[in-house]
Amino acid sequence: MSERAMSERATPRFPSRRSLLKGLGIGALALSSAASFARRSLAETLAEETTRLPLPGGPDTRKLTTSFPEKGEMILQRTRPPLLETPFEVFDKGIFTPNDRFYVRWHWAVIPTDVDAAAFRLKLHGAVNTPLELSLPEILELPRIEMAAVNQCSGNSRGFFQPRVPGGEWGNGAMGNALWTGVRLKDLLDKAGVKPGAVQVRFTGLDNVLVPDAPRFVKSLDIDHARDGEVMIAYAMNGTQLPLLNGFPLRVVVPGWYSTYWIKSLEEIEVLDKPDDNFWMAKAYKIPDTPGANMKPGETGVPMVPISKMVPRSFLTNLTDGAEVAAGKPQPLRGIAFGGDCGVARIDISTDGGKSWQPAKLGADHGRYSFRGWQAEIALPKPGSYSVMVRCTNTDGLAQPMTPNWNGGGYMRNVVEETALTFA
Amino acid sequence: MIKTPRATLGLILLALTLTLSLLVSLPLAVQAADNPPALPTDFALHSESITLPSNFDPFPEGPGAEAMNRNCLTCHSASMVLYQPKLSEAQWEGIVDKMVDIFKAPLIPDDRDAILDYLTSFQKAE
Ligand code: HEC
Repeated sequence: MSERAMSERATPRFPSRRSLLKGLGIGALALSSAASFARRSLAETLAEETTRLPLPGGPDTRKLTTSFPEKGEMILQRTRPPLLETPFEVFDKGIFTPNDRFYVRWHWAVIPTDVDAAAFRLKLHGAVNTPLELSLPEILELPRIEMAAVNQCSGNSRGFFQPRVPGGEWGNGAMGNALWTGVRLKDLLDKAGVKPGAVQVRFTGLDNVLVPDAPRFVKSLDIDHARDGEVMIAYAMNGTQLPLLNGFPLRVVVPGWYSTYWIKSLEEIEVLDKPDDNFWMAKAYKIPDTPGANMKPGETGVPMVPISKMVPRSFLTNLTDGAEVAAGKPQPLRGIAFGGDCGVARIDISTDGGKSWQPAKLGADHGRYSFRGWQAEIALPKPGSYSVMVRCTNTDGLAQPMTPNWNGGGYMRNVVEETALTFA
Repeated sequence: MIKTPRATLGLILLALTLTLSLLVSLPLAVQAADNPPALPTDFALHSESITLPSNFDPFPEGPGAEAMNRNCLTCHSASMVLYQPKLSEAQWEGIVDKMVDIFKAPLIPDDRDAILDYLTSFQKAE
């Protein structure tokens, strides 16, 4: 157990800074003038405390927090280990999600808080001819690649499942798009020389378990996937080094696949000569082996497989559910979409519950794994309530379904989103 | 989402930006194509050190809260439990078993019943 974890445990139930501040009152707050509060008025601080996601049946009130290092305002799902959701309005501001608003998700309470760039070594070993220990400058010297790619939690939007399922109760903000820069995993593997008989490549980060014998969070990819030339070890995100909470100094990038494989603060790459049977591969993050990872609640005997490729999604971002807009005038709409494991072919809009669809105009193409902006215009002559549906069809011809999928893990939600608007 | 002063301010700013972008290109522009800056060729990585907020806030009071505080705050904040949707007794039992069998939670055996009571009743109290 690390020293940090020990000291955390040695001071249980220490009140959070916020509740401490509340208890001490306004005078103390002014005195404390902690950096994160200094730029904001007291009124703002109090007014911004909570948001609603909203999740069916609740509980859906979440605190907003600015207390995390290298992060702006985030939705607080869990302090320890951090689960921070991106507030949805961030997605209306650009195709690339800023690092300081990018969602955060760790499994175990021991996470890296101190990384010495000079001392850090990435280890590559296992079924290879030459085990490697690479320093960061050595990695920076290798051929550099760059790719825009969506990173989405397997359980993004889990909170909308009905019947509800246990887990991290996210709204739609456990995703983000970034420009990743780094090296090909293939180049590292070639440098070490993969031995014949290798079947998978396992990734371990600097995070760790709190109790002995508990399963460390590790994930593996098949060897051919690991060597496809797209899987990347990234050292930069949106033009700067990664925030520690998003995986400084190195993070696995698996374009088109759910984030569970994108191991943060990568420390060790192990080439395996038999399939990885650790808990996080063999038992957790399993989905029904059915179209759309869909099954009936209570259904038994459904074959389960590890989650893998993402599926298309699209969102309206300039209007929120319940917004009032002017009738009889053209109403501009805009939003974001992604194809999953391939590009966005088209975005269609419906205002009649999916009976008819009109195409939206696609924004600049930043590559098939990136968010893609879209825009459209609707004009509804009569005042009344309408709902706007947005549907993405990807370049493989897969379209978002009209009915939500369900599975016990709360994975892979990608139903066509609906936003209720009042035209007055 | 609840509208907060800052959100409203954000909307006003957004509206202004939109108005400006409308003047430039009609209709509403898609999201800014704000390409992140290219990495300089001499890009280097610098050591990072952060301090994370801690949180050992106890569970809301009620029968069994002490047992919850003793057993369920080691690996994660209480919100991991408190933000769960309404779950059945069998589901809660399954979760506690998972904590012990898989995640190796050092559960005090005498606390098990109190924990299950708390878990199955705190949601009814809401
Ligand atoms: C030994 C560490 C440990 C202890 C002690 C522990 N948990 Fe957990 N718990 C975990 C881990 C690890 C997860 C998964 C976290 C994640 O996915 O971010 C988890 C997740 C959960 C979840 C979310 C549902 C799920 O299955 O992932 C609930 C609810 C939960 N724990 C309840 C409890 C309760 C109640 C207790 C006290 C009896 C408890 N935990 C004690 C490690 C622990």
